[in-house]
Amino acid sequence: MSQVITKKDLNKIYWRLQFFGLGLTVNYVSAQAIGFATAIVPALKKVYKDADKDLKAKAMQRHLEYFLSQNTATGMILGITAALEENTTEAEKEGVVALKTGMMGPLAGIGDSVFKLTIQAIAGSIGAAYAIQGQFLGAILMFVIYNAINIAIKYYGIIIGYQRGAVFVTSGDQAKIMTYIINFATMVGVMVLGCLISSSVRLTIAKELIVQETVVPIQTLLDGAMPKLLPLLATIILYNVNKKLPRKYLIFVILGILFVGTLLSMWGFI
Amino acid sequence: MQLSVIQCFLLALWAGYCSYDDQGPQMLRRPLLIGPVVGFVLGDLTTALIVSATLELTWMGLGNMAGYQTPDMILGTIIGTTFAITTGGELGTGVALATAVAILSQQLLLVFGFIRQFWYPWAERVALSGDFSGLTVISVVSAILQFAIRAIPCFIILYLGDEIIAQVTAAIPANVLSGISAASGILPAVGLSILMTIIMKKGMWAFLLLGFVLNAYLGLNTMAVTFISISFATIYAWILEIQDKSPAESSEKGGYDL
Repeated sequence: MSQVITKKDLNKIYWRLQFFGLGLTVNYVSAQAIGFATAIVPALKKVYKDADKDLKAKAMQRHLEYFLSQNTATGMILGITAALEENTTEAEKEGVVALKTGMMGPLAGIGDSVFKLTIQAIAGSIGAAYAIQGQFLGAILMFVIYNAINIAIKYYGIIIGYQRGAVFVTSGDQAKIMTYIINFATMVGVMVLGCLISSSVRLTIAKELIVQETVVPIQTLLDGAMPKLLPLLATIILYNVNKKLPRKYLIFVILGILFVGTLLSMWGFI
Repeated sequence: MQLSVIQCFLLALWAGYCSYDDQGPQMLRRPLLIGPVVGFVLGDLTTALIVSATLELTWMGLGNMAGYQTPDMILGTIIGTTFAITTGGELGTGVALATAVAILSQQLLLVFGFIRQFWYPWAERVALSGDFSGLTVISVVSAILQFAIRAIPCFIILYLGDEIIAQVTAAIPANVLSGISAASGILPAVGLSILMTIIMKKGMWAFLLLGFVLNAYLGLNTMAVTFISISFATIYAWILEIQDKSPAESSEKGGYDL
């Protein structure tokens, strides 16, 4: 097999993944397969340039089979799939599907935990720390941090995935780079998180104590013990709740706090 | 402040774009990136930033996981931020409305999920034809529909709801409104605690406390804490790298969690 896929085709694959993603055409039968098939089209066009209609139809059907992964991490699967499409004979195409199916699960796991949760959350908390004081810099920071990492991994996933094929997934290089990014981001995230608990959570006691006819606000006593003690306690309590609570009930926690908080404030406690 | 038709239209366009972005490019998706544009359109960036940052922190743990449609952060943010600005910059109004709209819109999106089932039979027919570009057509059509699913409701709510919401907010007693605002102040703790469940590892508590103390006791702002944390992060990543190279001799298990 000759090398028919050029850098330009890989760029096209990237732009298709970037514009259409995987989520627009999600359905119960094939999950994100239409999105994946749309993105891989530039590669198929080259590989099946002179093929007859039947083979083209088969190629498309192959990529419309069930596929479920994560947007960012799918870049790498697309790159590897392009390389495989180029280097396999028609009899070996079963292997393409098998490899895709083999990679989609693990990469979805990494993608969800790294991009959707960790990077997005850390970028969001750093950005929010500025924005909550009314600084526009916060929104810019979040956009840049999140998208720089997101787009780089998507794009270079395609390029490197194509160049080095399946070898890359098993070599562990990718894991090493990801671990470095995550370790770095985690440390920044944890310290900014600590800062945010103090700067963004607002919870103070409005009641007063009367000691020997002098009025002492309870909040003053608390501040003497430790400034921002209540926000810290509230966050740690919620942390222990959320560790066990399934995420889909989170909205009830939010509603509960809004309701109870409003009542407490109306009664003059906070 | 009353919304003009052009403002409603611009905000609906933005809602539509964010809706498409959420499934396609995935560059915005979050309240903090969606809300500030509302501030630009309505001419009150500061309020928009404060409301969307609060929503960002509150909804930190929310994100579409396989098989579960989360409350809709996009319409929630846009409508909550809009009415926080039009009703006089009250944080509580924005947060409460955003939460309500997010939950209602979640139901709408569940219904939309059924419409999406038509894409697959169409794709199968395209595949049989052997025409590669047919797939692109499906993606374009689905993108347009994805745009409409939030743009149209957004326009209707803003255009018709403008006066209704202004009247309702005016009718709510002042102590209830200030109560909601006070309660909204606690909400960032929800998202921060979710973030903790994601990134806290053993041995990290000391650094969480350090970040806290730098702000609470020393009054350092976020910028300062970020820079300090970058130097700690460099050292930390460096130590882990050395640990990786040397044979694993320290095999302490467990550690404690609060």
